[in-house]
Amino acid sequence: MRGVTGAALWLVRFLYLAFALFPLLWLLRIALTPDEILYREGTTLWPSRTTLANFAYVIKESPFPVFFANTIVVALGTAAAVTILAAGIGYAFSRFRFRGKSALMVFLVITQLFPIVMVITPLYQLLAPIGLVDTRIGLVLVFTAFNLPFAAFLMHSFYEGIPAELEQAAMIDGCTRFQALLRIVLPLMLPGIGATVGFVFTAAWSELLFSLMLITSESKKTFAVGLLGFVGKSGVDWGQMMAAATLALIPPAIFFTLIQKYLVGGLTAGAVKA
Amino acid sequence: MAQVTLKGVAKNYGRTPAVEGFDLEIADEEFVVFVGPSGCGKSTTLRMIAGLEDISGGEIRIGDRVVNDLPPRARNISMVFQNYALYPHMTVRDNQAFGLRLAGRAKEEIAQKVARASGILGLDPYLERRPAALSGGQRQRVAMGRAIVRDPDVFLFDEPLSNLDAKLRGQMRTEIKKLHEKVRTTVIYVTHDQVEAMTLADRIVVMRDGRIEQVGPPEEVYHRPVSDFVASFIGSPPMNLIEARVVMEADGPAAALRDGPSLPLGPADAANLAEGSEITVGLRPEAIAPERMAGPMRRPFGFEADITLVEPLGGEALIFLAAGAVEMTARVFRPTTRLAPARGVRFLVDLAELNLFDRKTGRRLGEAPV
Repeated sequence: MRGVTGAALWLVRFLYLAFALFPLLWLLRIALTPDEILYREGTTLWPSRTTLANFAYVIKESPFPVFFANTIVVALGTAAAVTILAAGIGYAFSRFRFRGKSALMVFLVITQLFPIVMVITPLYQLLAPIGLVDTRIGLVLVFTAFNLPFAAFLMHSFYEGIPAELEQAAMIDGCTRFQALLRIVLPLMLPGIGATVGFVFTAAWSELLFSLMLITSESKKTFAVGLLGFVGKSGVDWGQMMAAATLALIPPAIFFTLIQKYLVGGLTAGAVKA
Repeated sequence: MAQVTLKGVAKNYGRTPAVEGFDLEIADEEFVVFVGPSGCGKSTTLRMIAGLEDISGGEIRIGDRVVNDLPPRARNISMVFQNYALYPHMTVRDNQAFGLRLAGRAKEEIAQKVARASGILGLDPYLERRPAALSGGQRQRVAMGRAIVRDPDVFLFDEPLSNLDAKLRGQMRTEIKKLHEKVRTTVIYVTHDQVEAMTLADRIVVMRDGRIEQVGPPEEVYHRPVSDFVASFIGSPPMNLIEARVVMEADGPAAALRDGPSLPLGPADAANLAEGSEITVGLRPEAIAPERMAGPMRRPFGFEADITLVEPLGGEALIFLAAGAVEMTARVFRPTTRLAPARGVRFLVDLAELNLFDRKTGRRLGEAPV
């Protein structure tokens, strides 16, 4: 019986993986297919011949390296800003009692209710007079504003998982509140910080709408906007577009590999009796 | 080493008072236990002494310093928490050394103090382990080790044993008592367990609804409770509390138990009682026994009752009896014969151990005011 259940579970996992990964396979397949046979061979799982020409073009001749650099700067900047701010906000919500706390928390949720399209024009008009339109800083500011509420909630729930007694013990042991936060709470928050950084980085990395509206110079575009450049008047350069998209997967993949050990929870096990 | 003085200490949450008018002087090296039902303010008071809660009113002194506005780190106290609150990312050694390192003590001194504490508590085999790899009792010991390495003026214990199973709780209770004998530091210990209060305390502070109900050595709190609340809270099984009315009989005043026997009142008991007063009579279970098993009593008084149930506990037995409509629990030690439910059994009660309380106020009656 157990063997049957196990096998069924594996089947479900396999089907899910196939479903989730198939678009990636398709991405790679088109990126590797030479232009001249892309339409001629029709829909096959794998082309008769493969080429790296599309990748070579994207790397050597297109402006994509610049787009990538821009995206990395913007995504890392956003992740850093959001995580630092959310760490503070989440801590305050978790540990302090203050007037208007629940109203503020509701307010944070409300900011998440508006469709982004609604605020694009007002945002543009806000940023334009202070010269932040068409700048990477402006983009970081906007991304930070939009990712902060959820990140603060995420951090808040991680703080809630750390017993307040740990800090109190540290304060009795001789720490100031800030030292207790730094030496006791933050080490235990690494999974939460990892999750927040990962979430924000990914969101900023693949953001399209704001980047499209706020960035106009070729030299400041992010890759998501750059991808649209393959849509020309005479048609779409599918191969190059997919090659660029494949390359765009690499930085988040590296990033998640780096932070994955912090995403594993269970670090607080043994602190207190469950 | 220090005495702790609380003067009119109060704590309000918004408009709700959690602790009011708390006055207490704790002597150097004294072991004081705050006991009471949950919500009585005992933990809040402890946390105010620790500096983890703001003080809404009054004054707290540790030694000769007023500590009201000092942060916890400046009060030179140690605290053992109910859930241990060990630093999970540090080894047992580092957990203990953390405070000393913060204080910038020399490496040799830290090593020596940790070694001493670990020796006292039997932690040597676990020094390199993290808390997750320890049992509940071991974690409890580490928490105590972390408290004693710093040589604080005062130890604060907040229900330290309530997360342990019954057997381990008994062992750790003994260890805490031994520890206090070894390190001789002022201890303030919070518990809702009256057994811990009785066994550990030099003085017990019984709290109720944010106020002190009674302060005294365990024997005094046990034998001369100031109110029916203390009487019912301290002692297991609890004191029998029986409704009665003061009547005049041929040979003097007596407490007539409702639908039960009348207990003659001695002159001291009856001094301030008017005939017809509604009172509550309190009798410890061990002040009642079947006549054939009764030990020596100072003022024995006999009455007949039915035995409804017997709980043999080995060295002692609890007897549930009914005299008319009055139900009581008796406790006999080393019962000589087997006891069984029976009708019309003759019981003795020691009138010298009678406690009388005003029915309305619950305060102790019939003696010179304490």
